[in-house]
Amino acid sequence: MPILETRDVSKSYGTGDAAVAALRGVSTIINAGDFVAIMGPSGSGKSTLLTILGGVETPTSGQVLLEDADIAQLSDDERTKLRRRRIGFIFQSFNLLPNLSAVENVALPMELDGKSRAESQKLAIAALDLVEMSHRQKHLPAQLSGGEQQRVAIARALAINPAILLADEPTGNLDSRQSDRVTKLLTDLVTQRNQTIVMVTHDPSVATIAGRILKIRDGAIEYDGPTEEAQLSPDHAIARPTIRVHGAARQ
Amino acid sequence: MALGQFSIREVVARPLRAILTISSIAIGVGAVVAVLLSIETTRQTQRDMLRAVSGKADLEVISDGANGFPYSVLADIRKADGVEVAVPSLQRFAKLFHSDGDARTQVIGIDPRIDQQVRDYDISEGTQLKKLTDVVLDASFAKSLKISVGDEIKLLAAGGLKKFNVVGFATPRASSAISLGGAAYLVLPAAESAFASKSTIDQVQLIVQPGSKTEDVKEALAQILPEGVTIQIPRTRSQMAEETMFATENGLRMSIAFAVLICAFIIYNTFQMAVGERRRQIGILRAIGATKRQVGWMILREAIGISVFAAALGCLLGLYGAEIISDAMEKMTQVTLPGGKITWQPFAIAVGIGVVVSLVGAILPARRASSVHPIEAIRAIETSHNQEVITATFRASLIAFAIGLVLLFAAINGYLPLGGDVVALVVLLLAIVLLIPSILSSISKLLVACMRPWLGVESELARRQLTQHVGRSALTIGVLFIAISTTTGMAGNVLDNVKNVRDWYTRAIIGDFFVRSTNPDISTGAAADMPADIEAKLNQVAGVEFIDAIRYVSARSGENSILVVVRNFVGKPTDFFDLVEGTPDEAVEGLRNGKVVVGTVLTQRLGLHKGDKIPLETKLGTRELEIAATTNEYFAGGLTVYLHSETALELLDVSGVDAYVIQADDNRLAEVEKQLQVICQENHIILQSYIEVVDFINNKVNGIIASLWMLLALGCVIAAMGLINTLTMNIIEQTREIGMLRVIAMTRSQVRRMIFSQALLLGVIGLVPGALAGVFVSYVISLSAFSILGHNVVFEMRYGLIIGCLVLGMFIVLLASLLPAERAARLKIASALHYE
Repeated sequence: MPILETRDVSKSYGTGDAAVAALRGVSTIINAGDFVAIMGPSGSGKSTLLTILGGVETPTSGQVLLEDADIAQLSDDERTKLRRRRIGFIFQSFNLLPNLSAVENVALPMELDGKSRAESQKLAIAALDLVEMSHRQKHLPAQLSGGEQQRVAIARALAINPAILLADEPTGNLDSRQSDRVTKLLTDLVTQRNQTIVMVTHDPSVATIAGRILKIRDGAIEYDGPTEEAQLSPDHAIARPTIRVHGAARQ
Repeated sequence: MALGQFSIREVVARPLRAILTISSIAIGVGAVVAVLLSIETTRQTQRDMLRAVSGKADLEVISDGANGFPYSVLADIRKADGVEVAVPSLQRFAKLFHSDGDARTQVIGIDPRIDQQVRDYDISEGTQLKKLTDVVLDASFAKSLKISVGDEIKLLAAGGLKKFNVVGFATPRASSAISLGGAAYLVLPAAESAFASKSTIDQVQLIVQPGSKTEDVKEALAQILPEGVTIQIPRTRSQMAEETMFATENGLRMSIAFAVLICAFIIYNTFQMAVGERRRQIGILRAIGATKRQVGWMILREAIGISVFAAALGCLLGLYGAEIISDAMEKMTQVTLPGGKITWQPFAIAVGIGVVVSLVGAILPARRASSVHPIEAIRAIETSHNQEVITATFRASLIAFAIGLVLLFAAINGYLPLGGDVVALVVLLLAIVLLIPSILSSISKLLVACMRPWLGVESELARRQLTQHVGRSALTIGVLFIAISTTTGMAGNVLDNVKNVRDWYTRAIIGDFFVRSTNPDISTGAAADMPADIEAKLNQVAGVEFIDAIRYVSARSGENSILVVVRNFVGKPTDFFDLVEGTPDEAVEGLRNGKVVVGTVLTQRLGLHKGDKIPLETKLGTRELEIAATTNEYFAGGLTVYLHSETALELLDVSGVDAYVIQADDNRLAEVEKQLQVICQENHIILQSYIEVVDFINNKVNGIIASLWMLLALGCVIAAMGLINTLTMNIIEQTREIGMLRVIAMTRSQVRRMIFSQALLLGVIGLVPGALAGVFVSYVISLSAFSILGHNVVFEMRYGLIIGCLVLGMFIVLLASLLPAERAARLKIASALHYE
């Protein structure tokens, strides 16, 4: 079942001669339970695509349908409400509020959405439990390791029970041990909760955990298909997967 | 050079921050220039007047009474050893008529052959005096009256109305024009005739021979001078005028201090932010070889560059502000200030203050920048200094409290000079401000607990942001606290004093009509003499019950220049004084028996009370006069002694009249007024009804109030700038966080609400205790007024004023947050997420 669909989405910055096309006619469908890795060289338009998928930015032309609602047609407030109810974001640099504890960070989007403090806290603790961070719920971000901060950020994204999780280089700031733990967590979310995830990454070894690769070059989709086929592409050598999901065999 | 370019690009890259900083410094410097320029102009005018009148004299001989001393004394003075030149003069007020109207003038009768040896002026147009009908006018005075050389004027004084030809203009040599009613020079015999004061002079200016000691000459002359004539080193005769202006100047100085404080805060805030934002860049500079010193200097150079540019703008603003303040001063002092008078000193001081304050404000951020470790910066690790700030400010607060309380005790009990109470209050307010970092967390928690039901989780986010930067938040709260406490404190005090003034004149100025030749000087009461035959004409008016003549005489009591008010005290005893000690009957009975009634400012200064004796320099030497009562008094700054005319004639050789108070039959007031109008018109003198006199005083009081409100408004503007600066800085610093909040959950209106919540928290924490502190300020000033005025200015709790200031303050706070809130709400999410 399609969760998110783009139809001929283009995005350009600037006007006239100075206009730069970041995306050109991107069309794709992301189904429930998909784990999609967006890859491509720097400046190819990966992050722009992710921000447009999440309704942070609007396309210059084309449609972005999240559960059949055209994000591009919504007002700023409507997009914000859609984000806080249906989309979970995970950032490379975690983006936790430094002056809020782990549980407060996780509860914040729900409180902003009008849920009571008690209910928000309860859901936040449950989300922290899911990422095995409930024992550190009172800690401030500065008191947590990078991996722990990212798991709190994932809990924040999950707490709202989103239709889709958008992750921008989620392991980019982590060492290999912490990176493995985060990738395993993401994998478990897909396999155990049928969570839809779209992840931008530079790291081929991280990309292998996804069941599907979406390669972008110069703002256009160069490849959209299973991870295994992408491995055969001479331009993008992908390390041998250790874990693969969404229809791929596990090793 | 490379670092210089880097700095310039950094400033240009953040135009909003640069504009806020520059405008804040410019307003601060502008306020300093405006206030200093107007004070300097007023003071300089008074000094010029003195220089023109007393000039280059080493010594001056003056009369203790109002009628001067015989011309023959001059011959004795000239014979004395060590006297090089002795120049006589006769100085009285008169009314000047010209083709377009009239004005009060100080007539100076001189000997034109030798006068310029002691008085420092040039004849800038026309010629020096030659004939009895010649008059030389002060150039700026003549210009303001549109009088030209060759015109004819008339002078009205005790000798009647006399014509004179304007033959020249005098310009003080050292700097600008004379005022205080303007000066008109006549040859001495012509002045004697004008004032019906035959063979009499008021002053002799002396120059001591080279090689002789001034003190020796003074002592020698003191031996030969007759009773009632004093020799002294020339001193500011405008002392009384300066004392009456003391409160206003004090207020102006407080506003300067406030403006400078805000400047320092804004500069500190700006550069602290600049260093915080550029931490990574500074780390890179350090990594590639910039030394700590180079990095520190880079920040300081930026501060100097910005402050010099802003100070230049501030000077222009200050010129405009000075015009407004000078206008208010003119109204208050009745002194015609010369227009366009600009000295360089205020600009130099203001620019100096601007640059020094900028450096002081930038020193800590520069140190912070130079201490950035390359590795630490590149990893973007932010170290919190909150605990250090809290500990340091708490200790400083305790010390400031201790000092402030000691100073306050000393001020209230009169152990400190004038203005000591202001210093004590400033220290105490500073102590409270220093306490803010220690209590910010708990107070803000309490407030958020109350606000949360209405403002939601945004209020909690706002609180966290404020407590994350304790130092900066405390500074902003401190600015608001000081702004409102000084506003409510000073406003309360002004209103208390105004009430006191109104109580005074409703009790002390009673009469149906007042007749005088010119409006009196508010500091000395002096007006032009009236024609000698007026009293007889007034007495003939049908319906007049009685007439009381008033004469104001400058005299001395010990070291104090005082004003002696001489009258007959005809009428009801309750109609003359606003008594502090003694009853009306005791006062009037005492005056008739040769006693005196004394203004409480003077009794307080001399430590005297009812029944004590006060020294008075008279023509018979120093006399000790018993005090029958003490009275609240505002003429001559309260340095006033009331004498019955019989006593005054005996002691001071008083003649002439400054004003008549007329009491009429209540049923014939209109009839009396009509007759008086005819007499006054015929004799070119002023008739005022009681209502008109009250209006006259009210206008003066309202002028003072208006200028003080204007200063307070300036304080509000500066405080608002500080707040906009802080909130904007907060938002710049929160850019990334706001971007993230917008991505995950926050609508634009929620962002706005968060910023409003920050403003609200800052406002409530700063304004509510500030308003209460203002009440305390007002109360303490009223207490310490006793040591100056000798009576209590009754303190009144004004709930309306407090609530009004609070509402206005909160309105300004919320208004100031509009721009930053909108800026935050409109942040582009994608770029905000990558903001560093």
